[in-house]
Amino acid sequence: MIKYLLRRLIQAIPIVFGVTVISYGLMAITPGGPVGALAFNSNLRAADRERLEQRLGVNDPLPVQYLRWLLGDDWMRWDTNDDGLADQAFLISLTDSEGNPLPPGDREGVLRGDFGTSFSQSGRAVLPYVTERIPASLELSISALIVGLVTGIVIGILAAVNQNGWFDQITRVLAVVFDAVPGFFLALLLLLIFASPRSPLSILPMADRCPPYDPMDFEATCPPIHERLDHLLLPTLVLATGGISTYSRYMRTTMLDVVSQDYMRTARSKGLSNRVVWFKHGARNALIPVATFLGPAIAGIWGGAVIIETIFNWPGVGLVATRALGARDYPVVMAVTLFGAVSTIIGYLLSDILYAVIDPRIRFD
Amino acid sequence: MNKLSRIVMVGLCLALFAALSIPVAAQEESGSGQPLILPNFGADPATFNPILSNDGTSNAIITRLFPAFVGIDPDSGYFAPGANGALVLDWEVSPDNLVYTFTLRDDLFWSDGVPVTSADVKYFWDAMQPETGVNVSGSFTTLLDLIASVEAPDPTTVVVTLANPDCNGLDSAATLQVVPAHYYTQIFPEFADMNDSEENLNPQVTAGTFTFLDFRPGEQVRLRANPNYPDGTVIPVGFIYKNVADQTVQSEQFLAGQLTTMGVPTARLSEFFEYVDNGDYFGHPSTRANMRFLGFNIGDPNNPQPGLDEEGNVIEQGFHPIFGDVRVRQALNYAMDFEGINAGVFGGTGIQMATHSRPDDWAYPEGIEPYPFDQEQAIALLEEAGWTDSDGDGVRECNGCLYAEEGALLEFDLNTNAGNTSQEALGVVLQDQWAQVGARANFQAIDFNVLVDNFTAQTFDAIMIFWGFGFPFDPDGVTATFSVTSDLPGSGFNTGSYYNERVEELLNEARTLPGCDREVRREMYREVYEILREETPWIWIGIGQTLTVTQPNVEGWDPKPTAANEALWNEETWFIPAP
Repeated sequence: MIKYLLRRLIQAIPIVFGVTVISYGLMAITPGGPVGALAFNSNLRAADRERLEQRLGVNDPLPVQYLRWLLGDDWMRWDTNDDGLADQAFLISLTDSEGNPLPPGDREGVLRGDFGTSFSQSGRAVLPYVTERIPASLELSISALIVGLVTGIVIGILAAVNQNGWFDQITRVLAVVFDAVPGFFLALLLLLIFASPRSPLSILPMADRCPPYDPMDFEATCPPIHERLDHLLLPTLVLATGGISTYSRYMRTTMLDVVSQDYMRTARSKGLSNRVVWFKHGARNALIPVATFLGPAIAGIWGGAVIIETIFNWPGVGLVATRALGARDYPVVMAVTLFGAVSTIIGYLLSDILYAVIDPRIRFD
Repeated sequence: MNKLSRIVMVGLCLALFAALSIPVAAQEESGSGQPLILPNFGADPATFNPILSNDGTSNAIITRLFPAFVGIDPDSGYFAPGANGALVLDWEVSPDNLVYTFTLRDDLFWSDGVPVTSADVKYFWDAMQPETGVNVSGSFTTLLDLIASVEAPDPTTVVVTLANPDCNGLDSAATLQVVPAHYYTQIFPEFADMNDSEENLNPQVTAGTFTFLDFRPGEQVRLRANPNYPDGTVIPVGFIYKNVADQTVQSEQFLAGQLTTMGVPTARLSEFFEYVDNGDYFGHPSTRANMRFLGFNIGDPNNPQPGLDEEGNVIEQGFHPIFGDVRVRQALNYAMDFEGINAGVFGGTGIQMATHSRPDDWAYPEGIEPYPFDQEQAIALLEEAGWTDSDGDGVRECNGCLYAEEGALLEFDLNTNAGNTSQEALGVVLQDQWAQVGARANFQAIDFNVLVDNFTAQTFDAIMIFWGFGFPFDPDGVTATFSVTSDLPGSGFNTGSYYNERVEELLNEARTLPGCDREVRREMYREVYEILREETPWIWIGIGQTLTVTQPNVEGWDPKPTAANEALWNEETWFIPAP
């Protein structure tokens, strides 16, 4: 197993590398660069714009930009006589367009843990900028995953138990409907029903992870999660809806497959109650294929959260990604992409491990 | 009246007085009201360091944390000595308009007790110098061209020497920022250390109406009332700048009472005007911002060049095949039916513009009228310019036109930024109106970054942009956009490569006029406006009315059209009772 995991991790390296190359390339060739919007000021001088391009590093050829992101630029332009100005350069220019000497490169690159600084956030380091959002994203993603899995599995089992009954028919229709409805549409619909002040059913907050302030204590910080479940409810529900639809149908199918197995017949012939037969013998075995869904589910939830976080103003990584894309903030977009790629790979790996844990017949050696 | 009755009467009067006076006293205490909650429709603030700030969200916080250098009088809308919350008490200008000597107040203190002095202005100027390596905001770098030096001869004096005589010099000087030099020197040993410091998001030493409380990324920024604010009592307990996802959510949050005030989205103006008419909310309509214009590219879009060479000689720009001919630009202006635009885009509340000068500007040219809607005149001009529809397909072709190839269609790209629904509606209306005179506009709303790149690179045909004016407004600021010195592919805003020798002369004279007499300058700008109207490098389509609404329980809301921040200029005095 360990050997298998190591092999998978080693195989993941070129995958992550490929993802970053393709992502960087796609981003950089997208029309409308980061400088235009940042320098959109009637007073800005041409020299200031050039200086900005130089500072962001977007005046270099695309492969050099990518190399800087990956490996840094402290080896591209360096200072040998300690006067604070670079006197040697490789791949990039030693001076600016007016021939003035430039300082040595100070970027270390992603491989050395330096994700660079944000283009649109006045030089904020990308890593804290993105990672400070991870708790909010995890809060939402894990909630949605739990709600999706638990609800989907229970509905799937009950639908299989009542095959062709009214519960099965209704959940089948609802699964198709909720799988087809786009998340953003459902989100806006639920907001108008349960959060709009003009709705008689308005019982939930419109958006946000925390209330803006505590009327009793203005300086109090965001309360713990159990005191703000009302804020979590709608985004979790919307994000979990697709999962509920998929898992319920998949669970129903695998349960019906399991029903025809010999061990189920044996269990019944032993006189076990229906509840024990279905849930102890049936559901446990039917869950094995469902475990393979976990990996894609984790990646899918990150993807879906980008839109849902934006609508509900949930301060997660998805919201940062959306805004960074709009601002062509390459370092932030790349950090989020890398984060997504690694999450996906870890998700699939977890899925494999879980598969082996649930089904003793599975061996990876 | 017997003694007992008198005692009872006096007692009742005292009780009444106490009942009336206690709430008033409570209202006058710092932090006695509920917090102000304003929506932030943009991204997170990038920094709370005034030297680095380049975005509106950051500036919204910075203006509440740091004092202005020169303040603006809310009643006149112009710089005023001793204005509330500002550092400058008074100033003198040298006879040659070159040297401004500012006298500072001595009763303003940073939140750590250190007095605010001229050193705090000098620090900003020193940090701006290119050799420091500070990533100074693009909004300030132009000061390096306009100002020769900033000196601080004593703690209450700042001397600003302009690079050239400039009637707009006070505006340049007022752009200087006041930052806590003693604190910045301590946390940024080298100027450039501030570039990527996390301290920029944790401003612990400030001197504005509020002090910093916390910043929850992706959610909100909270400020608390400054109990030591010297120019009055800050009544709200705090200020919350709260992120909102979109305009729908913003409006619903306001209706739910979760926002104190907001600008109403264009799509919901009529609904909110009705609320205001019914007395459900306070409302303040304004026509200050929100001007829409359409810029033509007059020069050759395939060969964008700067307006001047290195010796200052004018460079020939070539001609746009369609808009190089002034008659075509005029024709499209005549073919624009503002009534239709007003009804379809501005909800009937828009004002058509002849130039970029608004009626409340001191240099507003009375009597210069916008082009009337006149399709016959438009058609006559196009025919005269050699654009005729010889094949009867409804789109004119070049038959003897000045700059396009023979047979070329009168067809061009018209772009605006995607996501702005009213701009998109405006594009569709114009497309339809121009089709009626035989001009085909291929309208497309495109990504803002792409639009900006095309606009500044001077490779576009025609672009519509939404324009907000700076404040206080001096005609030189925007009008200089039409100077050849602003024709800089990639950066300047004379992106259409407009050039008129007389306009250049007038702009220079009006900027450097000895004594800066407003009446004389007004006449100079009037002539500039007349020329611009005639030559139509832009179509100044109009200004749409905006509406700011505020919750009905806010006491002290007193919007002033002349104030720099019309609806919020006195926000620190608002009292919002607890629910």
